[in-house]
Amino acid sequence: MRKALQRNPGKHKPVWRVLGESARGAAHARCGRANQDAISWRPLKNGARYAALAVADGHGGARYFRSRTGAHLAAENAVRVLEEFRRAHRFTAPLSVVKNVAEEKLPFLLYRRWQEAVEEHFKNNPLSEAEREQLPANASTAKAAEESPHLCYGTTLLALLLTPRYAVVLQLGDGDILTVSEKGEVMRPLPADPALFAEETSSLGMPQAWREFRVCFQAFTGKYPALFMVSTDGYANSFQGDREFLKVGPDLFNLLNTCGPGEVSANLYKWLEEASRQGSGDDVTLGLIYRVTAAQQKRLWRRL
Amino acid sequence: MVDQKRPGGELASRPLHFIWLCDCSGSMGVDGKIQSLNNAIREAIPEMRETASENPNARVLMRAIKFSSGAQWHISQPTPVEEFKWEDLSAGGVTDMGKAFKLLAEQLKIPPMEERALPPVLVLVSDGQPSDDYGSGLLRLEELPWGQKAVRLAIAIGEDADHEVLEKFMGRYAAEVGPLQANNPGELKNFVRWVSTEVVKSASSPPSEGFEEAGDKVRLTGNVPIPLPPGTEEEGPGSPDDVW
Repeated sequence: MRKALQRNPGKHKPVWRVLGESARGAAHARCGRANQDAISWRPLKNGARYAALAVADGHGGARYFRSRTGAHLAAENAVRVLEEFRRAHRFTAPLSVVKNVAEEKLPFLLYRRWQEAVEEHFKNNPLSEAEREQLPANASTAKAAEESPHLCYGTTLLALLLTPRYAVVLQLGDGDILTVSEKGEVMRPLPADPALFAEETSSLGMPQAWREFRVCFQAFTGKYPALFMVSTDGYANSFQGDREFLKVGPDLFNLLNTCGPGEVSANLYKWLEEASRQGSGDDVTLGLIYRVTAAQQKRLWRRL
Repeated sequence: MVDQKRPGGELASRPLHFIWLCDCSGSMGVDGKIQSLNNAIREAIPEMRETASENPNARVLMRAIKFSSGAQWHISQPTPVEEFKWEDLSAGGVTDMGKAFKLLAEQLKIPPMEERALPPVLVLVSDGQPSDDYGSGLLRLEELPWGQKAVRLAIAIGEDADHEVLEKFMGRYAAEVGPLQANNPGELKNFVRWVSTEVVKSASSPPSEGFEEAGDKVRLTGNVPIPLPPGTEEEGPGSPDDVW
């Protein structure tokens, strides 16, 4: 395998590598609130034939007092579900079967796994007095939280699974997923949801939330996107407009090629923090999955 | 680590459009109402600037519409609050409120409104009943996404103001605070100060603040939470200061 890659790495299956970062929003920092975004990915280091990435944005507002935990549970469990899905369908053929299962089952699996994680967390961490005091001045709120805690953990979820054969893109709520081609062309794999406007969003915390997932299954036929980019809405909202935001994709692709992933990774937090400070003030999280180039593959394999 | 150039285009704080809709009908000229409104808005500007400066992630942009016999932009360009100066209104004519709503609706379309803006704050000030078909103007406003998501508040000046119409303008915010009843210059000043500071503060909060469930839909609405207005704790007979 190593020799084959060194001879002609371009002809072989793609190698994906993931990096990401999350920065507390400038407005949250001013009022002493924690970052309510979360990010998780696999593989943690180096490149691999597959990659899974999830980003979540916990809701603000007193009602969603455990949304930070909810976002972490969503991102971590989403990556696990995607890995299980990949393993289960490693040899499934044809791809149309994988596509059907991905579109029909994955949203529910992501939702159910998050619900179970939330229920377990709530069972081990019942409402504290401090949390009760922070709830909106409404007696029914505490009762509702105890009867159905999911909403208190409310969060969005954006998830991505890449394999040599296909990509699955899933999104519940606001945020952005972009792909960038070798030529720097930017695409949105999912259709826009016009209902997600002016802070309105779908949430994992609501009943039957799996119905609100937008899903895209993309079979690879020899050509692969060069870069996938996933971000919470605080990032896009920090730019003057959509054009300025969409420029991030090709800029990052160029930086990865010219400076390398190490430099991008080292600068990422600073960039996100700056975006929030000069832009929306919201928490900002960005995850990237990029295809390792032939030259990078060679370097990678030489190190192994 | 080498400092690399940040990816992406220009960064910008989120615009927060604040628009006054001022009744300039002939009755506003009685008992100094129009001058009280001019004074109240002008005097609230420094505090509004201070409030805006506390949140560098929101850019407060001011405009004003006046309506009497017809409607027109009194201040047409979205003006940063730091540069905003109030030009005195004068009274005369009827109350073409519907025309003001239509004028406003044209500017709440996307574009010229930005999709990434914070929910705009629209404040209607009136002392009487509309003389035109206000319903069709309101409908046009409510058909627009930003018309639906805007923070719509109303100040009623004097006892002849049409609360039913003001409540319809306020939409879902009517249940929360209702039209603010100003019966003298002091109350008007307090309400104008409140919308210029407390409401602006709330509307410029970080995104995803103040979510609420939207019925049985799997969606949360980003409604701006409205703070308690001044002088709403007690209701009773009119104050001796009441002149309107």
